[in-house]
Amino acid sequence: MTLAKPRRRVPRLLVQLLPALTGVGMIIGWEAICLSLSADQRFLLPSPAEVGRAFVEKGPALWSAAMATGGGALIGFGLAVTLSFLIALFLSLSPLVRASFYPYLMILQMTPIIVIAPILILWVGPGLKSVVIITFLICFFPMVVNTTQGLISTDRNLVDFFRMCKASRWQEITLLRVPSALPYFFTGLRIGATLAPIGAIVGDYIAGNSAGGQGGLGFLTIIYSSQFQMGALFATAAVGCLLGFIFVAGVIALSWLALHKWHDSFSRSDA
Amino acid sequence: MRLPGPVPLLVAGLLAALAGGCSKPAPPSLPETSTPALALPTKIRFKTDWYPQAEHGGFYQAMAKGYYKDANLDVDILQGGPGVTVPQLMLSGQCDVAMGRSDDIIVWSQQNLPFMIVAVYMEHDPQALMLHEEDSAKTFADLDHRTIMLNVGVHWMDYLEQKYHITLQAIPMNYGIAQFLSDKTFIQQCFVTNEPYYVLKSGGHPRTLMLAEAGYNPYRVIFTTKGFVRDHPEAVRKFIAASLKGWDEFMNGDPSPAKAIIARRNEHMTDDFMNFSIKAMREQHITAGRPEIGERFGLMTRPRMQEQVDILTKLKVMPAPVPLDNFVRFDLLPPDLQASAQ
Amino acid sequence: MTSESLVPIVELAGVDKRYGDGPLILDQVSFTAKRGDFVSLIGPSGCGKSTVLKLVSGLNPISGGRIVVDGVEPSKAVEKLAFVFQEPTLLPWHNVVHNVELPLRLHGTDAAQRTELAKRALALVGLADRMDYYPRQLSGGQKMRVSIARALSVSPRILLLDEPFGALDEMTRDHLNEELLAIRQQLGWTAFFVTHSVAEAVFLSNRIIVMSANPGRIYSEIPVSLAYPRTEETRQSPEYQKLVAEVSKILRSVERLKA
Repeated sequence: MTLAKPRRRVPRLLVQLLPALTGVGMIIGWEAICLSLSADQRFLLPSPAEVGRAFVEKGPALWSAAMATGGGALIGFGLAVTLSFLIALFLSLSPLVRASFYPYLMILQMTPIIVIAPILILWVGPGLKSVVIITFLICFFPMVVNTTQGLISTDRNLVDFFRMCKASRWQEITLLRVPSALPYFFTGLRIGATLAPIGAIVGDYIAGNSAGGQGGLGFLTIIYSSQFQMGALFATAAVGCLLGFIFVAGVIALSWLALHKWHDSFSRSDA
Repeated sequence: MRLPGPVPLLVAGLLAALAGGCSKPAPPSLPETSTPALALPTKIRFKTDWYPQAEHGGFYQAMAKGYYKDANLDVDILQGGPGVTVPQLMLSGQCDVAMGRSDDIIVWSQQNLPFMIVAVYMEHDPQALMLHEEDSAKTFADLDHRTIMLNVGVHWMDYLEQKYHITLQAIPMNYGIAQFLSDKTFIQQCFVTNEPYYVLKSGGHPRTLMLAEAGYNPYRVIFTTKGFVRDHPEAVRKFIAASLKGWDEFMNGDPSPAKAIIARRNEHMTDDFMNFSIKAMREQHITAGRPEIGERFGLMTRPRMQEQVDILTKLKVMPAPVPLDNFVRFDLLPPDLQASAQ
Repeated sequence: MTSESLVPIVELAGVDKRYGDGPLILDQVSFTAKRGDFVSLIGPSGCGKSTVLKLVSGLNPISGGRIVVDGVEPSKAVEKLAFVFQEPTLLPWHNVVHNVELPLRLHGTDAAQRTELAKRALALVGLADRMDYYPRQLSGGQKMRVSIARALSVSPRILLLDEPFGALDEMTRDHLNEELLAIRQQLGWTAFFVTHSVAEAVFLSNRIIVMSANPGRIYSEIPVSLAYPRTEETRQSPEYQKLVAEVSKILRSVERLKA
């Protein structure tokens, strides 16, 4: 009995290396563009080498700025998660409650942060407090919306079952509605996680003094752009991007912990 | 090694468009011809750093009295404002000549940006710190651990820290005085000719500490790009001469033509405010400096430029000093000022 | 038949039901079930058979008449009742044993005791070895068994089942019917069973109630005197098949009424 020839599969290792290979290709392309610029135009695009040098030279400043911004983002995000959950619970109580309060939440969301920020600074003072509030405002709304939706979308049959067992309102909320809402909750969290670092950077761009110590990434942006340090500016952007990745990865890890055993979003295709 | 044209132009154009907004840069002025009588007026877009105000007075005076037109120059004075980034606009072709501060241009030129200082229109930068009258700090040395609202990234903050061995905290500038008025311990960066007026009008009692007194002493300059100077040296020379004449008249003669333009272009500018600014410019020796130490209006000297280069190098803002000829030209000044330049 | 089995356990007397100002869903529904009965409710769509179950369970209030469940009104009879839905309605974030424990947990039973009771119920439905599985790892039939085990865990006196096997294939369904009767043999609860399948109704029950629609009324009651225990063989018997034919005929005439 002859065995069928195994199909040629792309080696696993190669697949995992693909993004890295593309990255290297892009850096080479980038360097090529820089070399093609005339001396006068060179300021427009710092070369990979310049950005790398900026990382090295400004390393300590970038690190402490990332810590400051990350810290502000974490606190603002944490506050947003907690408060959005509580407010979602409140909103899920009845359609009347939702009808009464939703419009005001939307107004809060629609007001541009750039306009709120100076008012905020006047009331609260610049520094970490303002940064935290700005971060909070930016990521709060999507979390409330998603969690509320989750809490009111509980399977009707399950609700009937709980009622039939004469479960108390509290039992219904803690044992049924909240666990059932978890997938929605984490969706909101993932959206918030991408917004929080942005919020913190905008926050310390406007309100400065991110953690009472050195400024954050937004602060550095002002400095480097006013001083025309393009390489450092690119490096700052890269650090901001990395911060965003870390936040999202953290939320994905949390959602894996909570959901992987039972939710379809984590099912393997051959399960 | 150059790649073929389209790629770098596309990238540069894209970035320039992003940097300078979406308006197309004006086509470059024609290089000067050899027969002045038949030459078209040279277009110069001159960018200021704020809304029209008395601190720009000399230029508006020159415009009002027709000095630019007499010199065959078609000058547009473009106003600036908060968040307007003058150097980026110049590099992306949105303006040709602008006002600035010599310390900034020294630092940019060290980064190989193609700027060139061509004249001085204020002997001393009016930048100062504004405190409340009753604030316990009386001198710069008393400012240890204080928080100052300023344009983040200014070099004078490091300078003050280094010189007086103090630590300062910075918060970003928002160009208002609301926080100053509500907090008696607030300190912010200001122009002596400007913010104190608003505070006084609101019933406050401001006091100022001029940075020049601490030894941080840049010029307020007229600057452009090396390319523009290379292509239009005569136009630049005439622009300088007309502007300096306008300033002379604005400070020492009748400034009402300039004031009229300023008032028309800036509805928040009152005559009272402009008089305050002009008075401050005189009393603090901003435009003309101190004659007793040899300063005069429009004077630009090598020693003073070198002094600033040295300060910035010592502050480690630049890894190495930059030669003066990289960023300043003295040969476009009116003849009487050129002699004093050395 | 002992005297105990003649004791009425569920009594409906002149029950009316409407939702708000809506039309009458149930009109003067009356019957009495005795302890140990297996009562099937069949009828055309919209005749209110599921509603009857919900009223008996206390989930919804009646609009008129009276219901007595083991001597008290339905909302006070919670511990004696258990409901099995059309869908398994398991909590996806709990494993099998925690799902089965749920009613006990809601009643306040302590952890050790409820795990024990849950395990026993699972043994009854033959799923003791799947205790730690999550619902998404189970087949449709297995999930329904877990749902039944959950109902059994509270040792109910009355079991209410609303078309529990409707979504399953015929073989699984027949199998589960037999299992259900076997468990009833052991535990002796009274059952109310709503179904669309005449064959199922005849196989399981000792009484079949046929309802008509618009509004829901009892049209006819048919006793089923096949002997328990009933097995696969029962399905082959001529008696059974005759009954199925008769009941189907009655059902058809009820459906014609609607037209």
